Amino acid sequence: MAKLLVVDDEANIRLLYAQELTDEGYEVVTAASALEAVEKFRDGSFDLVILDIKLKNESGIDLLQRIVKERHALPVILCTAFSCYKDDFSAWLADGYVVKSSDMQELKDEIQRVLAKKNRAA
Amino acid sequence: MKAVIMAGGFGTRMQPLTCNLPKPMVPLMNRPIMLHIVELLKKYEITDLVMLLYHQPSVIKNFFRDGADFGVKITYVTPLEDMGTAGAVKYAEKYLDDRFLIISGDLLTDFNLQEVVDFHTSNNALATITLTSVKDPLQFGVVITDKEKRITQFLEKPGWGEVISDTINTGIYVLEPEIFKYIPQGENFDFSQDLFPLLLKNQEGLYGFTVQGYWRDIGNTDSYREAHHDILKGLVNVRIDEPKKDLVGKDLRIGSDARLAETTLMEGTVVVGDNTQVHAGAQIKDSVIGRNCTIEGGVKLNRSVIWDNVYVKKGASVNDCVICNNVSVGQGVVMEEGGVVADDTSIGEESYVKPDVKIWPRKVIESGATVTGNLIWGERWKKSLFEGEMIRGLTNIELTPEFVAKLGCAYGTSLPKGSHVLVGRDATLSSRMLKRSFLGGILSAGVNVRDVKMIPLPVLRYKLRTFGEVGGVHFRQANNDPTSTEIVFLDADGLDFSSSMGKNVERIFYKENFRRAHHMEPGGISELPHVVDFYREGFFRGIDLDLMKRLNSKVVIDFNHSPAGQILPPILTEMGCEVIGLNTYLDEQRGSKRAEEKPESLQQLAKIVVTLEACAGFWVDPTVEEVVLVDETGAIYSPAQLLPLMVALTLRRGWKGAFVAPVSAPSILEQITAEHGCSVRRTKSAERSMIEAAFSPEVVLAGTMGGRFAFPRFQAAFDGMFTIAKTLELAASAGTPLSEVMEDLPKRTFLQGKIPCVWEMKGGVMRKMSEDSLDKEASFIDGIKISVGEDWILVLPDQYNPVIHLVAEAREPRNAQKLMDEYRQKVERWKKELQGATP
Repeated sequence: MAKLLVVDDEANIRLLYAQELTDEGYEVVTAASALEAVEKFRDGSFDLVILDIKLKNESGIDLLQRIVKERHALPVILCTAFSCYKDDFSAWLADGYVVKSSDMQELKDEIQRVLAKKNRAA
Repeated sequence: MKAVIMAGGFGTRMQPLTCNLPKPMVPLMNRPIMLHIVELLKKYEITDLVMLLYHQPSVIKNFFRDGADFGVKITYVTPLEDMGTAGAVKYAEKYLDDRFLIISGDLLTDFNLQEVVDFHTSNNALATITLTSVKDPLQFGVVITDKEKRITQFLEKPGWGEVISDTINTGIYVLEPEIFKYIPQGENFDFSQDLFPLLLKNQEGLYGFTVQGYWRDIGNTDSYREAHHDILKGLVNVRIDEPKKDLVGKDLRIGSDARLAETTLMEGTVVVGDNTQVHAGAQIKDSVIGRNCTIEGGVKLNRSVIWDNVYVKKGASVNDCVICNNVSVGQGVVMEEGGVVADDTSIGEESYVKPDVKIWPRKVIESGATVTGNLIWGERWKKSLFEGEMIRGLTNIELTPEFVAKLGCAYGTSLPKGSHVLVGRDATLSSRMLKRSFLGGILSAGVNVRDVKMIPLPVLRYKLRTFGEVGGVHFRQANNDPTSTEIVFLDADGLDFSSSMGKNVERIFYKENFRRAHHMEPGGISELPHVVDFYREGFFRGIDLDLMKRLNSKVVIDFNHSPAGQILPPILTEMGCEVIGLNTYLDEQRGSKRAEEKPESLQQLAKIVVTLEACAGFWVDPTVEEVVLVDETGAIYSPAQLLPLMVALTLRRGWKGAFVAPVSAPSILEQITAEHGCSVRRTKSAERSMIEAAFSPEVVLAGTMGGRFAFPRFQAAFDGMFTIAKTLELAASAGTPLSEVMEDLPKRTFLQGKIPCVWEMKGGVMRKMSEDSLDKEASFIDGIKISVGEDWILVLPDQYNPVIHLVAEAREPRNAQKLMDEYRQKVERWKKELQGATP
């Protein structure tokens, strides 16, 4: 069972993602801020991080760079309400990019794709 | 009365039928069109002929000579330049001192010419134009006459709005010699454009006479085929040389010495030329076959025209096509309606020629090929588009803009609608031209393009590893042939296209099963200006910058006019290196250097490295994947030396893990890695196989036998720029000059050679090799590798060329040579045996 870390500053989103992804068979841990996320990914061994780009006053992309620096092999999917960051080269460090939608299917598909890629590499 | 036959046209619209023949000599029922005209004139006792020639006159003269063989007297007139129809007749003025008739040499007609002449005489006309009514007068000159049949108006090629009559000028005129005073000497002058309007204006005796009967202007290949259909249907009365065979209910015309098997199925009207053979089981319907042809059993020929010396093999199906002289049609070939195959062409077995495709002379269609478009300039039509991950072809000859646009459309169709692809190119103008055309095709399938313009292939691959694009395509000039372009296809991970991906695009391309976006939904083009910044950021994460900055290495790099010359120098400078760049400027027209210039470039590079006391020199190939290393002493390392050196440098750096190398790489790799507790993973030589192996996390380096290296901790793709930077870092960390690291490596003799071997024989040679290897220690990862103690020999068939490679390695040079010689002789012997076995 893959273990996912969901980083989002909106409580309802964290709740929704946790429920939907748990139903899919994943073990889900959530974090509300960049600081909390860093503490959690340092403590636990995750298979994937799902990261919002706008975390109140913090930047998800800065956090992404930190994750890549510390855990190069840990895949990250950016999950945001904006599509414009797709052309921001800092965001290309991520392994996936999903524009938030009420339909969770795209996110679920992307998680499957990224995990499969990671497993293939292993 | 004399007649002038106009036989000077180029027949441009009739190509490729007229590539080797002037249009009047194109055969119609196995005899030149013009001979039918001569027969018609003879029928009306016009036997004194003036032939006006211009294009390829000798072909016509050699056929008709003085006309005696055909019962006529011929005078040839060949104007020195194209003077128009009337202008050309003016050249023949001295032979035309009495009333004369003019007729084109490329008409099919059975008009009663006597009626025209009688009309002309009774009206005391200066000029009479023969008229006829046609269904579609748009492409002809419409003529209006009054009650007395005097011409009152001309309309040259009218639009439908202008059509006030369906009566047209047939190009058959009766003229009085006084007409010459209206035709200026030495000027381009046309009958319908200039002369007749002038006569009309001067109110001269210009008449039009409408004739009943068959008339067709054989102007293009469709009209040529239709002319045959009309003759076979009996719509026009022309002479057929082959005698009618007396069989009830059949209309067969069989030439002398022709042999027809009894079980041949003939339907409709069939003409078989002299000395032609039709084997048992062929089915022929409404067709004309020329002389000296062979039609094998199971062939289906329908409404087709075959010229002379044509061989149609078993099971071929030819439907409403024209096949010119000296053509071979392979077994099982299918040719659809409207196809034209010009002289001296060979169509490989099981090929498929789509409807209306025209193949120009001297082409070779490979077996199993699907020919979808006219083949005009290139010599070959390949069976498969892809050679591994790429499509390669002669720029603007095989890879034309229209071909590439279609390819783009096929590629776009293979991808999800609305997805994005990354497209880049090298510095050459031809790559830019073809890429632009390709983009149009992708967009038409509703797929978006991120255009990264001029970029090295490794950078494109690096971006592809991230999200956003489902694939990538790179256009570049072929390294070994500047006249060719290579289109490299990459998957969503930046890996080379797999064969199944290529097959998918190929299938769509050949079936033309394209997805066309609705008018509001074509793809869009956007740019990604920061791709190089992203690459540079990752690049620095993969290098020990502190170590490099401390050492301040000096390096000479021949960038070979590749885009790497724009990207790498600032990166290396930032790393603390002093870079002396050679050939860094981009030359769009020239492209990269030719392969044969490489040794000279390497010698120059070696000299400069020594003179400037640099720690190393590198030559980068135009794809920016391959490098050649020159050490500080000016020694140029071959790929067989470079790979062990790179492995040794990596091991000295203390990296632990696995090394990926092809089966053909030297075995000292195992020796030196084992000493450090590391391993070697042998793969096939195909680069995709190596890179797939390199994806594994424990792999630290993958290296080919062609100077290509991948460092998976940066990116699992061959990257010449990163190889240079990493080599400098590893050399700096080793603390000893490169030549000394090389000196420390175990010494083995490594030999490589190749033997030409035709495609059909490769399999047989490898079967014999495997039989020969039964009692030996053999490995079958890629080709067959035989180990003899510590020594080995590899026999490897080339994937894309008719060649078998031999690679031998041994401790003693003598033994390596002995292995090479032994297996070279074996392969040559097997080839001879296989040749003997071929029927």
